[in-house]
Amino acid sequence: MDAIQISNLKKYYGKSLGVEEVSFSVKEGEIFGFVGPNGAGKSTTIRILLNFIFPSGGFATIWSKDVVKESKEIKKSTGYVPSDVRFYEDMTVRSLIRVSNGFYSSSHEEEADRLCKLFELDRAKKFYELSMGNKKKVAVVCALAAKPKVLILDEPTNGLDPMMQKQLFTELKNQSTNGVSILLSSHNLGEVQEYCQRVAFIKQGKILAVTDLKEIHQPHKIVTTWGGKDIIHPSIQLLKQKEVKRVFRYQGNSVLLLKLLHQADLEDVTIENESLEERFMDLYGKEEEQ
Amino acid sequence: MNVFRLELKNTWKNTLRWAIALSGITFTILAFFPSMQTESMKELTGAKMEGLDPALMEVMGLSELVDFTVITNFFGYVLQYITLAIMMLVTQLAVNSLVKEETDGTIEFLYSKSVSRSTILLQKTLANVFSFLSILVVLCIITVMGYLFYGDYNFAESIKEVVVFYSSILFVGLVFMALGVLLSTLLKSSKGSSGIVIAIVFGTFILGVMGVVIDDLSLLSYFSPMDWIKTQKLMTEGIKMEEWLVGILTILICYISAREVYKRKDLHS
Repeated sequence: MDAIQISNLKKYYGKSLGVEEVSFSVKEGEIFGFVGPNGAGKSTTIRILLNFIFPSGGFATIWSKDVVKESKEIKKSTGYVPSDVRFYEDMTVRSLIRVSNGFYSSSHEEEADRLCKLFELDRAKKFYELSMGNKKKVAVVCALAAKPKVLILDEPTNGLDPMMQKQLFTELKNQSTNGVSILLSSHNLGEVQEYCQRVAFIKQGKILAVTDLKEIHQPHKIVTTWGGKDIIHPSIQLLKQKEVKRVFRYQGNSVLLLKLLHQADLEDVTIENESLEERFMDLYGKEEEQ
Repeated sequence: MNVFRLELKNTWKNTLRWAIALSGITFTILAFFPSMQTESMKELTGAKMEGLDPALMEVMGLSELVDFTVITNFFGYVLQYITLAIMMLVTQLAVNSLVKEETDGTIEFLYSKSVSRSTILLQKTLANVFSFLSILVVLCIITVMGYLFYGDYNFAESIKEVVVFYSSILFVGLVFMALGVLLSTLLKSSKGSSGIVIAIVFGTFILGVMGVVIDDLSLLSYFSPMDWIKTQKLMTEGIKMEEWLVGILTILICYISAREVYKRKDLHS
């Protein structure tokens, strides 16, 4: 069963486009990456899922419940971490967590205590006294304390130091192992590649591709050559050429690659695994050309 | 009642500041009453008022020569200006309840929880009504104390009169609050909301003035809630049936419209 399903979602702000034809799904227990440049439509999609704004077309469901009609029901089991955490400034961390927990039927004090210790959060401080990273931690604790089945995270590591980023992802990994489905919007391709199973690429409000990161864990090769002859073969694709330097993507076995390189009589060559960043640049580069 | 408690938590300091300020003003004004009873002051106010144009007297809420040596007349006259301030406070409270949180972004905290928008609107409105009632109760106590200190009323008489004043202010305040709630759902940002609040409160006040001064526009008085509770009228006729009707209809229409608008409103980032 899909935890989140989005089908042909559209949002227009007057005449300007928010998102169009956005479709993807997040499976139970999956960490799903949502990647795109600023203004691509990531936050718009998330805001529709949380019923902050209303879609102009299409539909989205969480655990088969309509995000518009059954929003209240959905939020009983959905946690959200905003990219820019703007909670009540005059309240202490303790009060904010207590108020947040008050919206759920059962008490989650023990879980909140555990998370506060894990993220080294000072609960006596007022919200306005906190740094950006600590504000983010408060949002993470509020989102996770109620033991949600779906987590929606918008740039969750913004402002967190590397140790805390690691801590957060270890926690998210544990949550996903326990069946929690996670939609992770991020600019950090490294963290998406390391922790997500699949990723959706969005640009100018449209989904460019949904990629299974297993493919990237068994990656294509990026081959850079200097000098020699052109390499023409169905399994090799020229990505760019500048004077004697050529960059190819190769998919196939290593023996064939070495044979092709040998025949090309090259001056020099490097071979690397294709990273998510290269996939991203490739996808966005193609769009730019079109 | 999570939203209700949260709203009170976020507004109590402002409510307390207003309660202290209004109480101070009320008690100070009442402290002037004994000086109004001196012969020289009687002559002075009498002479000044006799010289005023009747239309101007109407505008000032003095439809006939008022004897300011009676505490009801004296305080009732000043109370209409305190009421203006109270109306601005309650309208601002209602306007800010939603749109300020939307502008500050704090409403996302509530929107991400399992609570419907109708409930948010209802509980925030109830919290504001509670704050308004608290201020009125404090003002009632302060006014009764002032009456007992400076007037020649006994406790029962003071309570009776003060309750009439403040219960009518409560009714008119609820009308302005309903207008504020509707405005809060319609505005996209809290920037400039203070100007709109002043325009609403003074705008309806001016409607009432026009209704009094220009005979052909007398109907306008029904749309000026401040006119419904002018002290002299309140003490003789009370609030008219038509005014009750306009007020209750305004409250219902504004609240129901606000609820429908808010249920469909996009949160601007």
